[in-house]
Amino acid sequence: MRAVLGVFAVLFGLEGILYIAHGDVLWGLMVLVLSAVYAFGLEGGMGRDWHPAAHVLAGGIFATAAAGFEILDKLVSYLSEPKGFSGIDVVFIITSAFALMASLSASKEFE
Amino acid sequence: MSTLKVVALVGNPNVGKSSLFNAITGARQYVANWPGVTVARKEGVRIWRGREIKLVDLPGIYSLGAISIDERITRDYLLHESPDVVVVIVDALNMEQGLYLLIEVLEMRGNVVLAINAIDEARKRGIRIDRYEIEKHFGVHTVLTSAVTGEGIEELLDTILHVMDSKEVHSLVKLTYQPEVEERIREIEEIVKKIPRLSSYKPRWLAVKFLEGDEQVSRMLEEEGIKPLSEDEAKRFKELIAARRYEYIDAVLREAVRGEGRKMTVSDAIDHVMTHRFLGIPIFLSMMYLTFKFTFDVMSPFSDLIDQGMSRLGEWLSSIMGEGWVTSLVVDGVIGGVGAVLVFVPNIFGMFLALGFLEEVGYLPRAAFVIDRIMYKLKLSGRSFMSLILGFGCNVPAVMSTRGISDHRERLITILVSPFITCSARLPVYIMLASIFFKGHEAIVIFAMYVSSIALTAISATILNRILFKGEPVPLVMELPRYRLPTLKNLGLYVWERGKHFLQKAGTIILVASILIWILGSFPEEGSGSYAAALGKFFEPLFRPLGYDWRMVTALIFGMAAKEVVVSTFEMMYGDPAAVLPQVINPAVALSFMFFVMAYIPCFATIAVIASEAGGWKWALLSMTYSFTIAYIISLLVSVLGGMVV
Repeated sequence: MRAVLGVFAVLFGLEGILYIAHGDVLWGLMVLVLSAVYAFGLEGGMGRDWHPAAHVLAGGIFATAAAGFEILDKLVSYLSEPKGFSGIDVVFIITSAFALMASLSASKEFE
Repeated sequence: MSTLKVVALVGNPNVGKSSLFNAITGARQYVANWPGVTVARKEGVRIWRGREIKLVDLPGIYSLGAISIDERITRDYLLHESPDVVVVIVDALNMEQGLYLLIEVLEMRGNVVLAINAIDEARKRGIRIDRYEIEKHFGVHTVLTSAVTGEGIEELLDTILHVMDSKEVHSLVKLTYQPEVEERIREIEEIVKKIPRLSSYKPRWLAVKFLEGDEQVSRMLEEEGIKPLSEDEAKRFKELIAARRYEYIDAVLREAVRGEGRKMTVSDAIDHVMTHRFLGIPIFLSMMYLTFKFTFDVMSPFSDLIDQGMSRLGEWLSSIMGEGWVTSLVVDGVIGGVGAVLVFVPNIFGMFLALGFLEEVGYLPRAAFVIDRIMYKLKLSGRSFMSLILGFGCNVPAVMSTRGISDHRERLITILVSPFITCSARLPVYIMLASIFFKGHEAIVIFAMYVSSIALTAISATILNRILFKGEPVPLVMELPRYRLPTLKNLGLYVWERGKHFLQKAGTIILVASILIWILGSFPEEGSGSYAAALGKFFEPLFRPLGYDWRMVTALIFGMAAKEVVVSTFEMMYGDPAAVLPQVINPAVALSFMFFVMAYIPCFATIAVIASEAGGWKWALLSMTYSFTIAYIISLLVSVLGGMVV
């Protein structure tokens, strides 16, 4: 579980920085919050009960919501001014898809 | 021929009461107000087995203590309007508090049916509920239901009819309290039975409530000569009664509920992160950001389509009607004014869709829980936050919903700061100006406006706390509902109930205002010689330091009727604001104007409701003066500081 948390914390962290570097500051900050969800799972939640799987579960839901929004936004834009997917968008959506799979797997721990 | 029978739905907040109400009544429901107050009263009708049943959805409460307005409404309704049957709804996953309420209802009256809702969720967790055990101990007909899957709804309706038609009075089980409590109950009952004025109440209920220290009942009985309890006695009896009820409920649940594990559930696991000490606030801000990005970015293409449609309609009408003042009234006044506001319908419905999703999924109560830590420092609580968040839709229900706040000081502060929360009527103004002056960054600007409005609300609450009202907040105790997937029906109803208000306004206030503005803007001569121009120019000197021209001032004045009217006025005064405005003002002044609209005098409807809810026009006047002053100071700062940058 630590490896999963670590990988997603780093991936989303890098993607957040890339978004900010491309000028999409608020979206980048949101992706950094997502990275923090995984990173706090590694740290044991600063003294609270440590449930790393909970962070994988919640992180996956958060990432899916954000990626879903991204897809919807780009698709709907074809009604007027198409925005198109950038390279970083595609990377973010793929990472989120993996995060969703990890989340579904983590949810089994709580059933 | 059968007469209309009335069924009241009672339950704790977040047990799925409204979902069950929706599942039973479908679209056959309507909303009115409770007599004398402005708390929404939801009613619906269901025809079942050829019989017409009226259902009344009572406000969600934890007890019948008559402390908050919601509790008082529910109690008064059950006591004085005597519905034929009362359905008490409890959550299958958290029955204890709901059964406490059931005991209180049973002590008050008969003909009660118990609905244990969310049974599908309970089964998923391996929880088995023996409803016959519960029926045996509480003496009520019990039905297992799920508002989501529809399970048990038909059986519930059959049970309601059975209890209605039965000659005997159902549900009269008597919970026996400790001997010393029972002795006092008997004494009081004996006295109460001899008082004709109290004959409509159950003597045992009056006695128990008296011993619990219920203010209303104590006053009634003391007027009849019953000796009041000492403070120590009242405290002891209250504790004894509550302890006995919980003891009884625990004993019944031990018999009736099987398979409940202590393991962390999916809902607990998500909460572990969502309500995290450090992550909770950033996650909340992220959710709000997504909400407003959805409101603007995803919905804008739909707004563009309506905009194009309105333009074509105007062109078509001009071509068939020819020139003249009637054409101008229809095209520039009605289509220009109302159409300018209708363009934002997708954005407003989009915002309600996003907020409705967050509420239905169960996130908003978590947000209140997370925000409570900050609110507590401002001497408010998460309850205030729940009221304030309603203000994103409309400030009127936000002010009204403060009735659920039992602490008077906290309630008054929440009422006075509510207008600073950006309501949906202000959104069109933000979108219009952001689209013209901050193209490509609209979502960020609008999100910043919302964050600023929350910050202003928080700062105002602190100021009011320090200056006008001093006191400590009542700690927030709330049950967090489970996370659940929203149903399309509930989400649709949520969006429609809130969004239709905007459409109604477009067809009434905004239509009338548009015609009025057209008349004032066209006579005695069009443009700067009109009455509207005279009005704007009269107040213009006051706004000159902010950089506003007379047309903007006129828009602010008309915007007091409803904030959307600012957009209509711009459309009529500038013709094509997107082309004209950048030549008149710079982005700093546009931003300053957005801040002014965010904070200045609430609309007439909000002012009226502040006066009625806060207890007098002095509070409404205070709100108007305070908000205008704050708006002026902030906008001046933005204009001056922004002007240095631009």
